[in-house]
Amino acid sequence: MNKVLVLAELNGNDLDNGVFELLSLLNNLNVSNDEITVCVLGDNLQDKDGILKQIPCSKILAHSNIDTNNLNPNILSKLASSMIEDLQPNKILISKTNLGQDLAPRLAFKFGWGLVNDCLNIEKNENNDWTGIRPIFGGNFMSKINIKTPTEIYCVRPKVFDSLTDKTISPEIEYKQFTNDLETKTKVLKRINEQSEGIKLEDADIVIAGGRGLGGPEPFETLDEIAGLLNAAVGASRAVCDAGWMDHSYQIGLTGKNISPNLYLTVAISGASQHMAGCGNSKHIVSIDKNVEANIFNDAEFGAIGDWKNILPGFLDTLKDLVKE
Amino acid sequence: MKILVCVKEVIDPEVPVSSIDIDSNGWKFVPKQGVSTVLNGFDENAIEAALQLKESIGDVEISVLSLGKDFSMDVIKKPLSMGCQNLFLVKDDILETSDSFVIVNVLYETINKIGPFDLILCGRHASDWDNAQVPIGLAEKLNLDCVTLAKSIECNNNNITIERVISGGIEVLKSELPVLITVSNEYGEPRYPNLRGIMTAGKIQPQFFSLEDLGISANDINNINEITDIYIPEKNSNCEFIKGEDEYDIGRNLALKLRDKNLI
Repeated sequence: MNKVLVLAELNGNDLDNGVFELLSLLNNLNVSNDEITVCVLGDNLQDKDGILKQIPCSKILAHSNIDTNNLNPNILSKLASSMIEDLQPNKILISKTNLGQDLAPRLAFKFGWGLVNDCLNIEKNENNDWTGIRPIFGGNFMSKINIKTPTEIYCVRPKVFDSLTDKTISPEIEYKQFTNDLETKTKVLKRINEQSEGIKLEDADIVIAGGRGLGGPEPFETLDEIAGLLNAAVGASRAVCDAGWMDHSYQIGLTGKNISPNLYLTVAISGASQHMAGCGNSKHIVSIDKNVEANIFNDAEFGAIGDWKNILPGFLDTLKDLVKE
Repeated sequence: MKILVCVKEVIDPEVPVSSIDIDSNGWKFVPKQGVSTVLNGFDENAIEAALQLKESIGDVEISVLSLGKDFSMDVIKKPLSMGCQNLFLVKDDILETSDSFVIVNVLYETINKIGPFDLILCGRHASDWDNAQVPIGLAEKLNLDCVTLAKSIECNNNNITIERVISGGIEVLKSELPVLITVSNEYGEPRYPNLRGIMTAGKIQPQFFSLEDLGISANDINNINEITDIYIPEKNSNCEFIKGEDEYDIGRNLALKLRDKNLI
């Protein structure tokens, strides 16, 4: 029997979707509800049991420490540690969010436990031992990892698993005051949300993105025009952002945004695995590129080979006609 | 002020997969002949951040630390050519197949010997194993606060202000020295070494340590993660290429196809 601790994250009133995905992964592994405790991190949790009750699990442990300075990882690693000491789990699952990607290694090194970071899946062998699968070398290779310590930590990439929706189960919530030692010299002063015109990249049903092959910032005006017609968001590869053609807030990939739209349309993106790490969960990938050997066509469903300077006008003109209809 | 930057020499992440062999004995990457190594790109961002702090504060000494089985001197001395002052290298065969836990312990013991430092900077992750655990683990081990993914760092006496990249925007934090910060590519392009930098670097000898020098015995080196397989993920290559009379026509047919499939 496992004793699994799942970390959930409540940012203001916004429950991060990761917990639903982690519960879905545990469901795939046939872990039963009585083996799972969801530990919630956030501010003023006592007032938010209506939100916490949405989590499809049977046990929730929430801290009643009021202020965590906007989910400051330096504070929350102390709180999460106390929760772990309280529960003594043998498995810990964390979603790789802004917070989770800091928290998981902190906890691993604090307790001396093994961690599979950026985990894409967990396999179970005949002895019920778990093996974590994670991408390495920018996703060019996959590795399988067995953790040799009594407690195992998995930090799971978001948007890989569908959310678990089980309306039949309702959690019991226990509030507990954990450590009072939440002092840290690092303080979050403020968060500045990026001003995106139109639809947010992460939420868009259709994303159109451009790569280094566009040669400069100007062609993004055409991508903007197409995006306007399709109600899509515009993204870019890292090369484009590092070159300053587009702001880094547009960057898709391992070190940028992780998107999962229904349609991902790429223009002049070769599809290095570091890029695919941020868009591999798109439902349909469609690509325009001059190089038929480009990596992107391993993932694309439809491809258009040629110079984007000639292909895009044909695409755009036809799109305008289709929209008129 | 003393700054330490931790760096790693990696196989050039731009090379195709076919240039790298996997050695299942210890699970390591083996570059084929002629495939070059480079300084991990994010570590260059961290070096750049250290150099900009030196330029704005003045009295700063930047040391660079790396571990490995072997070093290519051209690669590992690049931080010196860029303007750093000292280079410390820990060399041992076993470090080639060590996991993050071993690496953190070795870094920790080295820092105990050559430190203390007011500020430790690292790249956000290394482009070979993509773990992003060593800097955070090192902070935990040194009992330091840690701020990850910095895009700007300002230091005023003991106070430090960091802008960090989060999904959906940026977060502004303040902290106090000593602290460990990881630097992201959003920090901006690292500088190229100039001729004077290269000349200066030529005169600086790296200081080598063995594990023995650090008081670490082979018995202390135990990976806690066991790799059981490394493989190239399967790709489906069933891409349908759109035909047309010319490229304009291909674009037109692509739009019609997407409409036909109800994708737009």
